[in-house]
Amino acid sequence: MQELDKDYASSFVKYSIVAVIILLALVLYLIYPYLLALLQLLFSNPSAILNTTLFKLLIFPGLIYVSIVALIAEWVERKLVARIQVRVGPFYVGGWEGLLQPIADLFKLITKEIIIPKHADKNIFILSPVLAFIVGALPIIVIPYSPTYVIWDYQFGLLLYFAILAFYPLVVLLAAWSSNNKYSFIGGLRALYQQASYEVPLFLAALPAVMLAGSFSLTAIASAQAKVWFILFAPLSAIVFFAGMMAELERIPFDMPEADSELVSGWTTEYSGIAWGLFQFGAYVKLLAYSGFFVTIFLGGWQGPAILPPLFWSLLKVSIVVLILLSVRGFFPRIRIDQLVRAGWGRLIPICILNIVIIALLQPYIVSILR
Amino acid sequence: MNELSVYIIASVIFLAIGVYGIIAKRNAIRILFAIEIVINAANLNIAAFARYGSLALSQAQAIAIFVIGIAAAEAAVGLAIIIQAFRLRGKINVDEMNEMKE
Amino acid sequence: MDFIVPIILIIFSSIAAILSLESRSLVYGAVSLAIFFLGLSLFFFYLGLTYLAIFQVAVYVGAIAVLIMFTVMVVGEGQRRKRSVPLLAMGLLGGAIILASFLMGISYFFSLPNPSMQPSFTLVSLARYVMDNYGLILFILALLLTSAAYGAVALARREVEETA
Repeated sequence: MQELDKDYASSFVKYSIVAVIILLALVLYLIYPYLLALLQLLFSNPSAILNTTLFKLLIFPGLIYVSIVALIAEWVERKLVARIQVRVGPFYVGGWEGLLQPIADLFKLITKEIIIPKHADKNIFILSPVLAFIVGALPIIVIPYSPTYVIWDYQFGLLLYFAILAFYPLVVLLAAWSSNNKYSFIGGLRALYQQASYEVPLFLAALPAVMLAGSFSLTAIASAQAKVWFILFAPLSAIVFFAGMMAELERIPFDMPEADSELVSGWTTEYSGIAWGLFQFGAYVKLLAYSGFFVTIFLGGWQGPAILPPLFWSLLKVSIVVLILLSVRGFFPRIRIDQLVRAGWGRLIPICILNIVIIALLQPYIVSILR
Repeated sequence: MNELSVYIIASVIFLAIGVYGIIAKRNAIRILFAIEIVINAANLNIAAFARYGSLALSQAQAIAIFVIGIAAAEAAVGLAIIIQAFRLRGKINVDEMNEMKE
Repeated sequence: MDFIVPIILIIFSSIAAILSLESRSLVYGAVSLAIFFLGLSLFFFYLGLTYLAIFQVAVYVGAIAVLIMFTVMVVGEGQRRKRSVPLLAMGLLGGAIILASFLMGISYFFSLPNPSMQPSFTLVSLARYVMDNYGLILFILALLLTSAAYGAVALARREVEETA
């Protein structure tokens, strides 16, 4: 086993700084015309930059916003669950109550070595965290935070959302299989059963919103809730969607694939360093995407009293849903895998269908209320 | 070359790849891959006639959705048979599975 | 070149299809089959059938590719056998015959006139169309899919042995 010497660390830092500078120069050279156009736009009309697609993709409902919220959500989760469990949570790092703990964790994960098991399939092993992050982060392009703050106002936004989320069991299966570890494969199969069983209740629970709004576009669904939110007409579907959301995100109480006391870390056991970090980060980004979706379908998106801007209301609602999702972790025990699968197929689907039938019967009256 | 003929040639290329797979492969799962390729080639043909021919968009999508649904059912049953055959015989080689008795 | 996008998609999808048949490991074959389905979905997007494209991704990649990959992982890799040249030759001959026979008859399509613009398509019109014309078939398809799922589960069940 070779020892890590100071020369290795310093040369690594030097080479990485040089590589980052070269990469930045290359990127700047490639995007120079667009950057020039963007800067001209900024100096002539400063607020128009907020409406360009690049800004929306990169900064506001896009990459940087999602990353920052994922980091904050990690800190909030650890503090909240700790207080529920009568302990303190992260405490030392950062000035006040461990605020910089997620950044310290990120730094630690980046500098850790990625250990690839000897007989693991290298290509798929390296590919699956990246794919998990992409599939988890892609649905944020259709979620509207206000009538103008949506990256792509697609006509079939809801369908695209579900099509992207149908990818995730594939990624889980690839990640679990490529670890070449019997127990992580069992964890991956459990994750597959769980996520595949709760996809159908999720699709069915989102259907009343489409029936009431008359369109698959998420901005149209959010705009149709100007007078009454859809959760009042479809409470059963909202509950089923919430439960399905928790199951798809593998949060406690649907924690079976990652049962800490049984399967070490479930299907991500063999991943270390930034590969595991990408899985966790992708889980928080998926949490944000799902919460945004829940708010858009059931809680009215950006609708609220006109005193405050619509953006504030949508951010408030998303934060409340995220907080509820994070705090549930401290309250419930874990559900067994057979109870989980039986609940997904046998109990949640009839509830969804009941709600769809009720909405279908009452639709003319509801639509006249909404108009 | 017409726009329609480009898509028909695409569909025929996939059909040829699928037929090659069905004839030349011995592993039952690869034959199933080839069957799925052929079904997708047929869907592509229907889609091409929807855009450049005289098939209505609604009609073409309805037909293609039914085809996808039936392909899903057939893939599920085929894979179940393969799993059970693997459990009983230990290998999935269609050349060697030519008797009902082991 | 007008047809640059279809030709790129054809090359991408055929490489994925050939890889799925010829790759050494079955899991890589299943992954590249999923990529082939994605390539087909891009074809549908480019042709303007957006609903079909999303449906293809959700059903084929989201369900069928997962099912195939699950089976491949449970069954495991088959034994490596020598390549059988007569079989390969028969396969190539079959594929070549199909390709040639269709390409010979394709000149008919060159003479078709270009179609007029389609009326605007909404999902409501598709739903109404399916319900009006194919309502009974939809019902029968639902029964077929349910019985296929039930049959698949019944086929793949392990026989539970009675212990004395």
